[in-house]
Amino acid sequence: MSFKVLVTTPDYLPRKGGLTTYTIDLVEALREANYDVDIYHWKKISDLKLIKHQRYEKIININYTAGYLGDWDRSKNINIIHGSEILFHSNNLLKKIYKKIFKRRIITFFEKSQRNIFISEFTRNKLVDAGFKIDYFRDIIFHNCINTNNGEFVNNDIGDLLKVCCVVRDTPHKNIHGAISLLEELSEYLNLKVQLSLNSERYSSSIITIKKNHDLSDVSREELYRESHFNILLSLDHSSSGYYEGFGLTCLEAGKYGVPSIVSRFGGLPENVHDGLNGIVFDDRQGVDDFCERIKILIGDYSNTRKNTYEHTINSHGRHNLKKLLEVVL
Amino acid sequence: MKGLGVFINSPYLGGAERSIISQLKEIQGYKLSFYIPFLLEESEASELISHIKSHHANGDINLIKFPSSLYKISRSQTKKIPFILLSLILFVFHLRENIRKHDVIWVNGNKIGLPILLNLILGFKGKMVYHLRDYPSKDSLFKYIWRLFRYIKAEEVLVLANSYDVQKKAESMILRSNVVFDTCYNPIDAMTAKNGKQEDGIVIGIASMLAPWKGIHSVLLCEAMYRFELVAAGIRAINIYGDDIYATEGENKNYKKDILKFVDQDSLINFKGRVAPQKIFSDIDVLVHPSLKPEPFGRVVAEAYESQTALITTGLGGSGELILDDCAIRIIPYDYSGLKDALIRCCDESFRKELVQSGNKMSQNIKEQQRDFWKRLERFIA
Repeated sequence: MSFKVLVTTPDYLPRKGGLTTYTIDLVEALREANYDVDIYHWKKISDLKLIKHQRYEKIININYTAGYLGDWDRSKNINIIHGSEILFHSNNLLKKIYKKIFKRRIITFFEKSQRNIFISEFTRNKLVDAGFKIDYFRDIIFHNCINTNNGEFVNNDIGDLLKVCCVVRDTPHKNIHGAISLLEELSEYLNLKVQLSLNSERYSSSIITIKKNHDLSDVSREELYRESHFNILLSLDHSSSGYYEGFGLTCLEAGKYGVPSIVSRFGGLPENVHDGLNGIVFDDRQGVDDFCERIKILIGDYSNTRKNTYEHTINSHGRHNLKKLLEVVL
Repeated sequence: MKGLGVFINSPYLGGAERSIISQLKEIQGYKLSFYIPFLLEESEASELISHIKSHHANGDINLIKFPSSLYKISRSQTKKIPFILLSLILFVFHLRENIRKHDVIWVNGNKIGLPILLNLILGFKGKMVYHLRDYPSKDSLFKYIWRLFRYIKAEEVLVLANSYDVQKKAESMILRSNVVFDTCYNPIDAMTAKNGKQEDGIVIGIASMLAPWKGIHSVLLCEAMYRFELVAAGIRAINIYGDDIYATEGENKNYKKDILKFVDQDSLINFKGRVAPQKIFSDIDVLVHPSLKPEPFGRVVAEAYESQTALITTGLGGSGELILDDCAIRIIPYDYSGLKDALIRCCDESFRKELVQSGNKMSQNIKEQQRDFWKRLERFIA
């Protein structure tokens, strides 16, 4: 059965970013499933009043705010919940006060919606901690998917230089400083030269080489992934300030070329990276030596790790899976 | 003859109860007395009592009324702490005489463990085996249990885990110098292998109580997403064996009702309710063990090996100790596509046979581990 579906999003082209990419992939998946889809790109809250919701059978909200503040029937809503948007904390005082006052109403909104799709169990549990009651039919955990059509297995051996990339915004919870420290320790432990490519210019190291790539274009970002041996994402859980890593999209972006990831144990990252399969989870409680020993084993079987990473990313995180899910939930 | 008091954790015949009843057959020269808690009516324990009688004809069976508020805190949080404390104190004194009768007491779980440990603080000169059937919990009142070990007056204490993963966790939480830690894998009843090839398609089974952490909903969503591919590969049915057996609150509540909504008229899913393990494994070709949280042991994993059934598992926690690369397919929680691929792979009969052969070897390893433990236990209780 096919009917009209509206996708509401606060982020869309020409602006780039995780939500824009997700929206594009979701819309493509809907079109592949033969749904008649419109996109409503809202920039301010008042835009939501202009939505002609009567035309649509279902409304998929890339950010729940549209469904919460929109004046249509709650049961039309399918909400995609990525991460920190469901926290009731924020550095912005007004936003924080608003969320605190309307916490129960926001939670009720999710409970009245037709479906809630959480990109990680960690994200769902954040909402549960706030008082949300799970319905295991309505509330689905579905890990991120990406367009893997341009993915390609790249067999890139490690010679005498370990190339690592870290493609993130330079914000405190992304913990670039922590990534540099860990790679410095790794370089000394394995007696191996390490080069870290960053898209930020303010970091330096006397132990590893920092390659700065300011304002990466789409093409150069893909090239950076292809030539890297590891992707690193050591994000911290800054939930109390309103930030954590919902899933870690860059691990999939790197994975579609077979590049394994090094991640922290926080947020949705351990649900994304599986020790020994598509990378390694750094557990700070176990210490750096434990990490170095484990990554040594991974490097010892590097070409298999790349193969496993590629296959896992393509098979389990390709957009075709999102299409299958949408067919079920719609 | 010396007396061994066995304090069972629940009136229902679950995995932990089956295990202890079977394991105690290894102990010779002791008069066994079983203590079974019940919540409202003694009839709750009827299935368990029959099972004990069929295995230990000479054992005494005693039923004890267990405060229901105390029972419910194992899997859910509660705000009625003062009321629970009062029930606990009364229950501690109620148990007192029953404990003192024995030379050795065997505690088969944490719900019954808390009042017994409190009793042991008041004085008990025998030996105690504290059998952990789950990871030592840090939730609710249970976080205090592990501290109680410092104050108990038992002569010797053995904390027995059902996997090395559980033992490791227990060692980090129970800090008392003269406690001995050990592990004995749960016993598995002998099972006959399924004979012959299915002519009309492959039957997949999940054998588990209906609880969210068992991950049944993730299999249901996988089936809804990939039904066409699964049918095309030759899968005829996905049977779910089990029920909501715990009278606990919290995330368990409504789970069964929620997941039944996944099933429509074209679904491959069949909810079969509670069925004996031998019957389950004679009906299925492949067992899926989709737990989303670390399992202390993973009884069905060992049962799959014993019954020569191909296995797909998340292998989290202690259950991972039972899995080598070639005796099961490992899947990742919430990886619906990965589960679908594993199910389709298992439709190949020769591949299933390879898994079963490796599973047989692992089954022997499990039995050897158990034999070694019972030799050590004889020295402990002597």
